[in-house]
Amino acid sequence: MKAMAIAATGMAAQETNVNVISNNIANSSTTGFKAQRAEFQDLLYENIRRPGSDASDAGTIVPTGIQIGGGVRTAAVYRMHGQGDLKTTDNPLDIAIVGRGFFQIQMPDGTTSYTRAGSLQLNAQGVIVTPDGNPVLPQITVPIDATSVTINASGQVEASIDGQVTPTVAGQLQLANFVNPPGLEATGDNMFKETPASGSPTTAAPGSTGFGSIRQFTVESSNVNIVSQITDLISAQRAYEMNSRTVKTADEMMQALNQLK
Amino acid sequence: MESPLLIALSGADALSRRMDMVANNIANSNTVGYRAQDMLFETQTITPTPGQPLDFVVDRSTYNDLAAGPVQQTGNPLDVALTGPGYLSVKDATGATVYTRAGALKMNPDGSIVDALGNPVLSDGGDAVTIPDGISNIAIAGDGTVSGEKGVIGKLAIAEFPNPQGLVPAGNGYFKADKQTPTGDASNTRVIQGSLENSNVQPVREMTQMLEVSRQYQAVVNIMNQEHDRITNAIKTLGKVS
Repeated sequence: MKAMAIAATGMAAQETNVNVISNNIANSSTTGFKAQRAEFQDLLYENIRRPGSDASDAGTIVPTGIQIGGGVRTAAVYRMHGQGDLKTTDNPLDIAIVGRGFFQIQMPDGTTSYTRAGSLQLNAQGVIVTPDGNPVLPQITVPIDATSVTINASGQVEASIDGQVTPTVAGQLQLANFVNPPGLEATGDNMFKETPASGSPTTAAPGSTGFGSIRQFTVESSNVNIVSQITDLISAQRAYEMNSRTVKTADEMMQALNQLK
Repeated sequence: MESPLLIALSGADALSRRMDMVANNIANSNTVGYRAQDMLFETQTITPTPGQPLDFVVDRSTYNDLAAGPVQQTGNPLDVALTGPGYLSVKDATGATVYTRAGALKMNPDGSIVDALGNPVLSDGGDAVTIPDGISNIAIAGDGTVSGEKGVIGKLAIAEFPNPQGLVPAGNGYFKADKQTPTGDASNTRVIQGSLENSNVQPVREMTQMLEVSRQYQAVVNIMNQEHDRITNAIKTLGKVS
């Protein structure tokens, strides 16, 4: 009787489900966070009586056989890359991407990571960096004596310098796009890395075809929908309880068998 | 061996498989595209003594509950839910065509639409639907037509079957069409983009079935115990050498 093993797979799957949901809820205010969702699939079936096999010499065919399943497994934990809500701020270096695309960030080990979190700052040399101090690629340096910085929808960074009428162009932001954004690997700190599943990045200026535009004084908060996460959490908890009930019942049945005289 | 013991054994055997099936349903109560299973029992009658037939029980077959599962909105452009009797066609790793209701679709780096396992979802023409470069707004119409900003890209193959009960579950959300071919007419099925069809397992029903199975099992085992007592008594009483 495999009921206990089947129920164990059910409980393990619901545990993964609850872990994913609680990570989503914990990150519901994280800038640039993309919610995840666990997907399950049923396991292989045991054909105790194969459907379609011959039932008698006359050639009558068994219309439906006996297939007993093996339980459930987690097939994928999928990241949903929908647009998060836009929140306005007072920081001139807070930028949000409206549409598709990622910022490119230079990591300390020389590789490029990608992110949607546009809460940027200036370091001591005036280079635009993330809160961790990693510069945005292509590297843009704002002049030290700039009084204000403007970033327009196509990613052009302009700095107004005291005494000059026209602002100077400090640089041009570039966005990177992937064929399959859910295939990116999350490395924490709001960063994503390229993988064979995501495809190679194509870069262009914001506002080009297929790329989103930049909005200054805005951050993109997480795309977690709290109401749907809480309802998923409740149904995951109930499913976990039902599976534990199955374990208990299978145990009672085997206990009855053990007490056979 | 005495008939009551063997009849009770047939009961316990069938009930243990029914318990496995109920446990599988409960374990898959959150699996997208899962169809609950139910069991059919049948009596096998033998008449060793004329006029006194004995009925053994046999679990004849499992069948799929074809009721539609609840449709859950996710907002993902590549998630599809099917309402109606149709299935999506997928080519599995061995090259065979399998059918599924689990519409949590994804895109490969080369643009082809695949399911959660990476197997391509087939279009009407027989190969996978490939999204060309640069298309970001994918719309899937009610009949499965996939289109982008530049027009129609392809059409998802929706298969309806003359005998939906004849589909065999093969694991991973797939069904095999043993000896059946799709009717070719998918007009009774609608594709809903941005939603998923959740498992159609009814928890109340499965929990009650589980209680029933547990009590029936205990009753059957009770018969075996009573039989044991009866035979022991018979041997003791009848075998007494006075």
